[in-house]
Amino acid sequence: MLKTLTSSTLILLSLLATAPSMAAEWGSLKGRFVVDGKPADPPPLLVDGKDPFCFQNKPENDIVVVGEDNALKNVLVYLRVPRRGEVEIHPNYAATLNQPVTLDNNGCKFVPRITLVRVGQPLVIKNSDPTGHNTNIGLFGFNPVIPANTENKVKATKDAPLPMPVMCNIHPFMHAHVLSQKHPYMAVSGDDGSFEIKDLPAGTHEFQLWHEAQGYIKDLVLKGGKANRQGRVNLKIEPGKTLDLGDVKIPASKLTVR
Amino acid sequence: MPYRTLAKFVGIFAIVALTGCGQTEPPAFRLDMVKVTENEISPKHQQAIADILGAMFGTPDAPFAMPETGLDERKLKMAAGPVWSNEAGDKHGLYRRHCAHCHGISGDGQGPTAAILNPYPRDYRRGLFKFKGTFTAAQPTDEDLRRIILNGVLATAMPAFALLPPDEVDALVEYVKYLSMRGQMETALENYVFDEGLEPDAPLDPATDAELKDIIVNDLLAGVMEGWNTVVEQVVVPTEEGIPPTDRSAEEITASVNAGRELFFGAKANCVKCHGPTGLGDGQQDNYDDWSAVTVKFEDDTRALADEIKGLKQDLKKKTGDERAAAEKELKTKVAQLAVRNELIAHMLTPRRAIPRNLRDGTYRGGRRDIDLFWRVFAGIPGMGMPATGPSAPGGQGTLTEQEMWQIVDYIQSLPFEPISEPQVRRVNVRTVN
Ligand code: HEC
Ligand code: HEC
Repeated sequence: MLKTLTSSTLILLSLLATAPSMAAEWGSLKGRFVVDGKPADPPPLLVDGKDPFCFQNKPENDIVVVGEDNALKNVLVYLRVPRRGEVEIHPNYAATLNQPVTLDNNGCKFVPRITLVRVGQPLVIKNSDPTGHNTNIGLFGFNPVIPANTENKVKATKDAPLPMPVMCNIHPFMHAHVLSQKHPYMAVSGDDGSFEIKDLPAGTHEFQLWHEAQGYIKDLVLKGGKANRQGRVNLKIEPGKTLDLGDVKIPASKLTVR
Repeated sequence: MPYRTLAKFVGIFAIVALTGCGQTEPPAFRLDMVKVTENEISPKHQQAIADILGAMFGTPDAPFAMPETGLDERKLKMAAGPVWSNEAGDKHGLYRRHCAHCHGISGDGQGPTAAILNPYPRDYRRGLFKFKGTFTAAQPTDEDLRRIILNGVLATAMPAFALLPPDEVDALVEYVKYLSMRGQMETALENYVFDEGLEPDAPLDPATDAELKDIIVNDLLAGVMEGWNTVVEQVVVPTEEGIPPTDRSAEEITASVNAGRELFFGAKANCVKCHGPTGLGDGQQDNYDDWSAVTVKFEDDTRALADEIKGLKQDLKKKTGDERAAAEKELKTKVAQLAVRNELIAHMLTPRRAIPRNLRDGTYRGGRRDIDLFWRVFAGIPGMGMPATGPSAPGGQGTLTEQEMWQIVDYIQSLPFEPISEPQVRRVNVRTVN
């Protein structure tokens, strides 16, 4: 029994190993997230007068941002590589690994709210404010003080299957998330709700959908398939083509914030 | 079949055990029901996880250490099990004799006395410790744990065990690490089941699945062990040149204290933001500690689930036929989940805020030596949100120089003797905004 299992695993593994070689061909994925309905306003942030700068600046709760035409910002879509699996990375992405990603403390908010980073990529934690912050990213095990108008360079050391929280303990109303993956195939929807992941290896892949107010977005119906209970969906990327999901509707009820 | 009993115990008695009643069977490790519930781990997988942990770590009465953990089983046996002594006077069951009523049999920090204490006893299962001489994210060294056990944590319920013979302290150090590793391994398994999206009744048995076994040992356990195995590289050793000489003149010390004060209240070190303009700990006090934050999130998610159920009930009225049947089924599952969550919440330790310390009373929980305070300033206090002023990892970029850290240490030590009426306040407020 044990023997047979190993040999079938071996076959499976060898199949997996040959799979990427087909991926000399590439395709892309795009779409636009919109809210279906009107989400309740997120609760206001508790910014007291203890830090005069933050108090004057009155940061808004930007956990749910809806733009024109119901566009939903900050929805994450990213490739989920099976455990021990590998994905071929398009040469276009080679250079981006060394380009620093910046996470700014700006106006007593984290900018951007959602940071995408690859394992090994430099991460610049910046403070553009005239007041001191700290940036606590448990995933990478750091929590440095970032004095006014300075920055601190670190490296993304680990990946995690889901985005991990970022916070400033000096200003507990400041929240953000960082998604760290071993590959570059991740996107976050912009002001107009749109996103695009370019140059994916052709083939069927599993993608994870996530929004900060909800966590993984389960049971969402998309053009190419339906997300499972963990907010993952299999989509087929065809060589030389872009799979356009069109408008992906997220029910407003999923965006209620406590 | 000891593991079967164990699993049954975990699955069925977890909630009973939380309330602390009825312990007729030998004490068992219980699963982290919060994580289990969050990750929607099916009863079958709960049992499987308990079985796997049982095979890897044994039971509270019969601990076992896989060679990969590097733990010394002889020491574990001394610390584990019921309390007894042999004719030669060798003591056994040290953990249950000295620690379990606060830290719990599973090391979850939820022993019978835990609820009335502030701070709560440490939950070892995350491998997260506050008072240590290593970089922020690193595990404590054996020496760090030994020091805590010998000295206790001043001004908390954690007693000093200074009178225990060295071999007993060693055994307890080993057992704390054992409970930590076991807890971290449990979390890794619970995350594995979730990440893999296993169907509720999918098999999860490393005895018949060689790949799973390989993953458990070479991915999950290795991931847990990485932190413990590399701790020697993570020790914070201050550079020789930075350490203030012992023969400083009064003027030199005063100059250092003054420089430390500037930093403490200034915009570079920012201690003032939390410890307040007079050092009384009355800066911002809204943070939850990392252990409580888990509880807070669980409570929030539970409220969200209750709302969702309300919505589903509304929608149900509009539905008919098959659609209605499906919706009813979903509703039933959610209602059951809500009941489990509310039951758990009723027994969870009330979340606590991470209140910055009043630095005027001169009690230092992590030790009062210069080096203890230097470590606190260098690496912050993990789990409590207090940030680091040194680099996050060896070779990294720090915010302050070591000389500045030592100046702050000098200032902290003089703070309790500084008149509170010194016109610190006004200057400080200006400085925070620059
Ligand atoms: C009366 C309750 C009580 C008993 C008994 C007790 N502890 Fe503790 N222990 C605590 C509390 C409370 C804390 C948390 C202190 C804090 O967070 O400042 C703690 C913290 C700890 C820590 C963590 C320190 C750190 O750096 O984070 C360790 C390790 C520890 N205890 C080990 C032990 C061991 C080993 C024993 C038995 C020999 C024991 N404790 C007995 C209450 C207790
Ligand atoms: C984000 C808030 C925050 C900031 C900023 C902060 N601290 Fe703390 N500090 C805390 C909290 C919370 C505790 C209490 C920890 C505990 O009770 O376990 C603490 C405790 C301490 C202690 C007591 C340690 C002990 O062993 O009992 C010292 C000393 C200290 N801080 C010094 C500093 C210094 C110096 C700075 C600036 C470099 C600073 N803190 C910045 C939150 C903060």
